[in-house]
Amino acid sequence: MDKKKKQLKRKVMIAAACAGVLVVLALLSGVIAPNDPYATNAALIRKGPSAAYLFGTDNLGRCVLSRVLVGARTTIAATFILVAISFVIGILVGMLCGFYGGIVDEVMMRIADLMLAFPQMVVAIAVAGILGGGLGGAMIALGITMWTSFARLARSHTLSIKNEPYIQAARLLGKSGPRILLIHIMPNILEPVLINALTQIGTTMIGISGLSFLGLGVVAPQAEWGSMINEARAYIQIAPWAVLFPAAATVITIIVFNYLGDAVMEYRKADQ
Amino acid sequence: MSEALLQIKQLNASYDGDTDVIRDVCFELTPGEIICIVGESGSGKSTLIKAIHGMSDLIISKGQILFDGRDLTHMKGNPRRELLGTEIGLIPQDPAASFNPIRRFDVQLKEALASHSRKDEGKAAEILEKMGMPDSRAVLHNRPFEVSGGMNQRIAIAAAMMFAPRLLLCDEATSALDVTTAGSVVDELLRIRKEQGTAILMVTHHLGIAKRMADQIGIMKNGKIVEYGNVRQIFEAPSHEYTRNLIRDVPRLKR
Repeated sequence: MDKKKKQLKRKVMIAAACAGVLVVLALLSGVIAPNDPYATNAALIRKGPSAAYLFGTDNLGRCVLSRVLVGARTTIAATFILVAISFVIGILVGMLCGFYGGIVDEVMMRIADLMLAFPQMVVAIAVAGILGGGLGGAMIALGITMWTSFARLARSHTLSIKNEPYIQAARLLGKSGPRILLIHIMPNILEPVLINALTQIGTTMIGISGLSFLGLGVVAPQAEWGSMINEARAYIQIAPWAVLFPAAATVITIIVFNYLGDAVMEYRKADQ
Repeated sequence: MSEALLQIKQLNASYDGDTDVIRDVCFELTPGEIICIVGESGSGKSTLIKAIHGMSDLIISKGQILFDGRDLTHMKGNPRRELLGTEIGLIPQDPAASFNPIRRFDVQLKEALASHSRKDEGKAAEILEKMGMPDSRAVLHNRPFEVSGGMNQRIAIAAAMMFAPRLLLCDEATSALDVTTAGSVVDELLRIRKEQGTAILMVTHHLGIAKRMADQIGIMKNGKIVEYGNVRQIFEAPSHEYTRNLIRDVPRLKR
């Protein structure tokens, strides 16, 4: 392994470790949160950071640190679930379109083109608006355009390998289409699509937080970074910490996951 | 002369049903014989192999392919499938693409065996050992991307020979390999012919390979066989202009 590859590998490991820490923090948020994130306290409204409330308190006297931690679970879990669902739908649609072709392929790809013609956030705001508030609505709104990137990627890779001799050999052996898709095609196209999934995590997180910030995502009082920023921005001059910490958490998390996606992509490129 | 194993009669084939990629191809292959079809890229060599092997995207517009008296011309589905592998083996052009790159060789070979309802899993390892590859079982535990091109091609030969077919089709089986590896692959094919009497139809653009292994050589140009004869005829007294050019263009070391 040459020096550059070693460096890239180290980059991947560092990014993965950071992302791992964030995910563990989010998973354990219920246990490590110092206070009840939903308990209001009229005596502690908008108190600055202190030993008892490390990130201060918000307009209702709730512990910002606890809310950031619990909010991490909401944001990260929603992001992962959404990316996973888009990944599964996208890869299935892409493989079927690429492998069988024909009218279904044409129709699905034109639908995908149509989705891609609009900026993702604009479609998401419109759809989330129609569906009303709630995390589920926000996820559907983002997912409507998200599967297309997976589908197109999976389709193009399927097209490039479906005439390889080993696929023909499997056909000549009399293997069925679904079996060939599952055993020969999917494992061979998984890598680029998985890397795409990694790079989508950051964008999705911005999407979910963004919709929540606009009031189209998570509904109060549930803790979520975007909605926390939205709530607290009204009194940002009095209690900036209530905006600052969730905003910092969002930025750091997005940077870490984008960095991870980029690092993995660079590493794989160097490998080829 | 013994009875022909493979007869190609006036064969015309196309991909689109309109333009014939190969035209009026005729020759006969007897058991144990090696025929090399030599020609430049796009001359229709691989199409000929596909026509005999029965890849599904080819349309045979005229002519006949007879294998051991059976008409293969339009044979499809299960009857064809039963012949492939067991009676007719294929060594593809690109060794790296002939296996699924991320599945273990033994798993893939087992699948091929199972599709013909056979279970002799040690067979491929045995063939590899005969090719001078000790520890062949360990080799078969690898995945294709983990081994070299030459190794891949040897395993492809072993896979093709698992059922001891009577006819082996080689589609540029050596062109993706370096000269030394190509040489040893040719040696393997010659040994297989000697030991098992397998007839081999090899298409190649490499005259040197043809000279070394063939009994008969066909020179193919623009979908037609322009000259056909035994090795001596072709190399010593080529009658067609194109053949003379081909022989002349083989690079030689000047002293």
